[in-house]
Amino acid sequence: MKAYQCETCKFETITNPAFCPKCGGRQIKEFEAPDEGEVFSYTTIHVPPIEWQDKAPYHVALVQLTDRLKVTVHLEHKVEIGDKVKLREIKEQAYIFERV
Amino acid sequence: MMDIYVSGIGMTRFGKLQDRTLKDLLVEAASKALEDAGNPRVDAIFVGNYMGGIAYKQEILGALVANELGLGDVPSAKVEGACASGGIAFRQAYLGILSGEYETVLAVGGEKMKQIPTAEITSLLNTGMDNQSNEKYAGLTFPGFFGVVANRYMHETGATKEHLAMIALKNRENAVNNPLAQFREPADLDEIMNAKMITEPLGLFDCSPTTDGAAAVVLTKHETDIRILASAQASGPTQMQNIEDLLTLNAVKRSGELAFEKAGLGPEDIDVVEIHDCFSITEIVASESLGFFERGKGFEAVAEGRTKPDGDVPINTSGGLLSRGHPIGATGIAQIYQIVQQLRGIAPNQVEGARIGLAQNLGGTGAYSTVHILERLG
Ligand SMILES: [Zn+2]
Repeated sequence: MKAYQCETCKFETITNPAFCPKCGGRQIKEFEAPDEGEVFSYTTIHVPPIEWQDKAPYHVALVQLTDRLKVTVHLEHKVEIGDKVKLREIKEQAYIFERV
Repeated sequence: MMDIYVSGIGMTRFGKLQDRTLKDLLVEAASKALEDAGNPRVDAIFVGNYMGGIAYKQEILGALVANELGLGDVPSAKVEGACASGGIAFRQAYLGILSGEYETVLAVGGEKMKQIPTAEITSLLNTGMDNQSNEKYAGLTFPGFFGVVANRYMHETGATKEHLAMIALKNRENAVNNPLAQFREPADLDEIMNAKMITEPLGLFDCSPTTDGAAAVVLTKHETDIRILASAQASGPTQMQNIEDLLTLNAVKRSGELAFEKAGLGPEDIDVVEIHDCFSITEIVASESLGFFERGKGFEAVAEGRTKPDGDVPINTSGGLLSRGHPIGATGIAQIYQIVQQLRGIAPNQVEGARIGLAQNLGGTGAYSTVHILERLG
């Protein structure tokens, strides 16, 4: 997965920032982050917003990809904290993950 | 530095107020506050409101209030900061006086939400997150964010869903005694634990409701018995995936530190607290971020009853957002309303001898936070 690192403070993000959200630095470099990580936390959404009504309940997790990088992902199956998960596809701008 | 005071407070009932308009509610709260202040000349108006435009098709709230109150051509504006709109409006009023431009300013907040069905409100609330990021497309919601926080909190600390329920129960018990609160029927732990799931692990009672209502405060440079000791504000991350420590609300922590520094006080000096409990977990995490408890220890304080009105850190004696209700733009000002009542010694769930109170108002999923500290003189 494509990710971004601030050359000044090493802060990492999955979205490409114009300025580092942490230190305001402008030297941002792209790097290849692993497609696999560990569930840092999660929730199962039972009451969805209107545009997600047909899909509930569905699962959203915060996945730790590197020591400094987390990404918010969508899952079709429930996971627990510590589960190993990997990228299945990027669909309609969402990272869809599944259990390894 | 100039001293700034509160001279009047007013608030409507909170709840489903079908027959009332947003304008009505703002005017009721404002006129009560002005009357309480002795109907002073007002130099400016700041209105806290989040979704007047998208949910109620009404903007220009500043001028509407000025006109309805017959305040003539005084400058006015609406202030938007998601759920912190009210706290920020109060702070803008404070800063307007501090600048020397105004002597007396009206801060009023209000919202009309009950006319919108839940699924639609959930969509509208998502405007308080970064919708131009992959998080929206992953299906993350506003409550979903706090579900993720709650699961991590429980994982790291050993807290359970019952601890979350204790927050909801405490705040409900407080609201039962508050005549203006939305939910005044008692609830019990079983009912709270077994309620409909919204976003795991948060059930219905863990989530603040949608509410209609308004609240107002008059601020002035002329001395009264309630002095504003500190006004502080900070911004925080707008995306969950960019938060370095998910269990610290950094904007809350920073605004708290700034407020304590300005007031020359610490958490131990505060007698009564209103915290932005948009969700049960938020009260715990914010109480830690403000320094009332160590990180990861706030849930123990709840279990020990320390945050009840007779505890050593009374939190949300009004019933909080969870049970007093959460008409978004009104919330930050309703918190000040309760703190002022506490300092005047006439609050529901009165904390005996309360002299210094703190109100913390959160916007978005940690995007904004204001902290105000008030003191009773004499
Ligand atoms: Zn940086």
